[in-house]
Amino acid sequence: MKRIFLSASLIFIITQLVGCAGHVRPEAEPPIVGSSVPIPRPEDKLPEKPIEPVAPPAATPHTQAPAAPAASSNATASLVSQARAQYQAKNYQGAVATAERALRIDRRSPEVYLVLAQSYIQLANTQLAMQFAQQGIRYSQAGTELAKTLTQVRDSLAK
Amino acid sequence: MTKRRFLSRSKKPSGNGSFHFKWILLLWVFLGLIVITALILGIWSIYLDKVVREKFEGKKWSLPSRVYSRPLELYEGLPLTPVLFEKELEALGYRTMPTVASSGQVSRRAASSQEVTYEVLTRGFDFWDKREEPQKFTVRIDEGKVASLMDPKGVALPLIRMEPEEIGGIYPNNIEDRVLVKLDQLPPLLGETLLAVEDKHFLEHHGVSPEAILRAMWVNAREGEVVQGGSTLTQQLVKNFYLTSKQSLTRKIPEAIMSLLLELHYTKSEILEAYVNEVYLGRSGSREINGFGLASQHYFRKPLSELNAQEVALLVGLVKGASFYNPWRNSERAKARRNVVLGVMHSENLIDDNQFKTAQASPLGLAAETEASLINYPAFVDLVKRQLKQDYQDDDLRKEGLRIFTTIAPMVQRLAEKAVATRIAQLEKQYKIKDLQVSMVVTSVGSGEILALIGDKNPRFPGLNRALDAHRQIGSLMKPFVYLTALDQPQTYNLGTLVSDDPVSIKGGDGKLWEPKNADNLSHGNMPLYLALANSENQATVRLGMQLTVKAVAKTVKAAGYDGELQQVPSMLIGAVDMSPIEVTNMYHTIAAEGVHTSLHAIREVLNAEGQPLKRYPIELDQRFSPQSTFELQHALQAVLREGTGRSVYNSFPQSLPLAGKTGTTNDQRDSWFAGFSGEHLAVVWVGKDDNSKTPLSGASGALQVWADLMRQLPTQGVNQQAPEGVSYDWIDTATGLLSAEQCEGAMWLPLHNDYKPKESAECKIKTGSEEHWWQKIFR
Repeated sequence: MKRIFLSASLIFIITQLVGCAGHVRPEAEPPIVGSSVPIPRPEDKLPEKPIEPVAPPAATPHTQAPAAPAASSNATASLVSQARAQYQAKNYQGAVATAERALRIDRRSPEVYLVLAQSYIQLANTQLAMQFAQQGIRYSQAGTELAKTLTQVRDSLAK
Repeated sequence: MTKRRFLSRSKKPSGNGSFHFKWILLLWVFLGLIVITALILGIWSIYLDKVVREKFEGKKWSLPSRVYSRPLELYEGLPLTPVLFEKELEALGYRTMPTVASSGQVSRRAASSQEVTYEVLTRGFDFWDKREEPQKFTVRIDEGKVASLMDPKGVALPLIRMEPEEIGGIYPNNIEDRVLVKLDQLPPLLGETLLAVEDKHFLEHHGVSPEAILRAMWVNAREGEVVQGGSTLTQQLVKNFYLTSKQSLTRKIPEAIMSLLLELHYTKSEILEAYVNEVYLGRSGSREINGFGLASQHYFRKPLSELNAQEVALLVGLVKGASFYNPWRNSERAKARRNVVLGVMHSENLIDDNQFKTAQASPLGLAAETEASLINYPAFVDLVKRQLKQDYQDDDLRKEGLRIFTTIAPMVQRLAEKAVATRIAQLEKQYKIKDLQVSMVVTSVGSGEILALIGDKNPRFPGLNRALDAHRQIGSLMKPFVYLTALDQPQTYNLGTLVSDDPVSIKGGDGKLWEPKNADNLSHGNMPLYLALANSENQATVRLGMQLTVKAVAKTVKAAGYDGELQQVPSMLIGAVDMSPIEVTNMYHTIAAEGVHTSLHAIREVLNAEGQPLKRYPIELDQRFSPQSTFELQHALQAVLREGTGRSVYNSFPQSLPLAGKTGTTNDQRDSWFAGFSGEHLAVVWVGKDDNSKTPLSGASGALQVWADLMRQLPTQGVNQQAPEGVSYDWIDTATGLLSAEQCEGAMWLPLHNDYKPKESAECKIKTGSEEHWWQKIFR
């Protein structure tokens, strides 16, 4: 009996709201709610099973980016290491060329962007240095040392 | 004594006196002739001496620029199939052997058609940044990617860089071609064989050898055929380098003088080095093959250092007559000549008995004769030349022997050519049409490097390069830039925002009404923004574009990378703009690379003939659109292929591979376009007719099919699904644009700016059925 009563209530409410359901957004206006009646979220309506919006799992599909497979990270790490050595030896053009090889393998590696940004600073190309620092920040995990270093590089260039 | 007797006594006796006078006169004449001849020869020799030295000491040859592909870099996880890897090795001239013993060899062990292990010994190469030494490694390819990469001791290797493929050249007008070889790079066996066959006493004579002439006459008469020449190597060099091959006394005299002069001024090493680079050894179409360095590549697809005894013998045998002994045209004659040379090598103890017998019995071992074209990929090399001309004169490109390292990936180019050839032929047959044409540009996503370029349905035809020069209306390919303009205003628009697809009517400057219609001639009322794009609705797009303003959309198009003129009229919103495929690619690359613009380029580095770096073309980035708005746009472009105008794609692609793109069809279907990308590759295809006449092809039935044929074969990664910072997914009611939930009818899972999500929720009608949407399949 209780179930029948609640279902009937639900039907009644829905039919009352049909005429007010939906509202076309005026062309130049921001989105407008379709009616003055507060539209409850789905989980408020069903008496028996509150609906929890089910979020799909975090997107780590097996064929996708963003994380490059570990082995290509080895390739990238090897090239980053070579680029760093060239940088230390003041061979900045060489460091850029090597870092670009790494970029072609994994364009989401913040380490690669850091090497590029630092090398371009030495080559007095602040515009490119800034762009690479910015990209590195975008792909680095917030709060990590790498992110902080990239942010420092960017901020120093912005001054 | 009378005067008469005095006079008679004064005269010489008449007989003996006139005889002596004649001889003295003759002597004087003879001496005079000698002096005059010596004078003439002397002056002539001075002149010839100048000629000899000027050319020999100056730049001897006009060296064509050599164009190289990108080098294949192997690492674990690289998408690659056995078939594609073997094609790369074949193009580099690698020989499959049971075991690998020297550079340029590979062995193969197949566990299945998908899992194959290779052992390779690379050749080594002088790259821009350093020399890669020859390296032996083992690579296992399994399930469409490199599964392992190891050195001979089984230690994992992070990376292997193979040598690049030479794809063509930029030639001098006389189309001589050569690969310069230093004398110390000449294999000893080749040098010794050459001397043994052509000039046994090269080290002893002074340019001309009368004994050699007499000896050759004797040997040839004894053998009954010409086995030995009478000219020295020096004379042969003079003939080819300075004179002509015309056989005449007037040529022989200066030849002799110049040979002596050459020997006077230069060492034997210098003369021999010039000879091995000058000697004519064949022809490939209109291109002359000069020098042993190039001949080794031409006949055997390998460098000189890898030649065996019989291959050396074949090349040396060609000196006598490259056309007469052409091994592809006259294999028996060539083999006979080769064996004669092998006989000389044996008699001179350059090879032992076993080597002699083995070499004589072996086949010619030629590489497949290549097509008679100077350039493998003319459309791409055309682009390379245009980009180089900004920095180099035409003469520099044709004569200075530059080494140009490009971005082309032969693997991708070959796949693209195959896709084009097969599909265009099929479309012509299916629709009974003729003269269909095509162009395609393929780039890597992120670096902006052009991996493949096709300018004609016959890719080897060096005519109109449609990829660069055919400007056609782009139609619906313009629409993503309208929607990007909207999404770049997240406070107002998101993917779920409702846009009206009602009929639209716009008055032009001339007072006429412009009333664009949808492809199905229907109006669809209000629809979410992403769906209007996925279904390529003209009316919704124009309405949206007019809200945003044409000027704002034009600004987006420019920011995406278009440099051309844009007439800012409403029809621009649905692509009444002429663009070339490469211009379209430039713009779509910005979308594929998540809002980062990179100028497309075809060249990485340029070195001079000595291998010294001249110029680099670095990767440059510029974030033109926010990662958030481009991520949302990419989601909508994925919807094009999942549920929109491009949905036929997933009839033959795995559902788990996210791809994105946009179809484009112009009025009367004069142009069929598709621009689509994965996480790694972007390809733009145009199909149509050069005379701009109608075709029965839409973007989906024409260009998309060519694109799909390529992408089906190309190992690639899917479009990135991880949302950038500031974006998260939520349920949106497609009827209202308000928040919703999973179980509600009409709910779509869409990426939205966190700060601008709708605040209100739509009413929820619980949906029946459990149909899984495409994004759920991906995330699962």
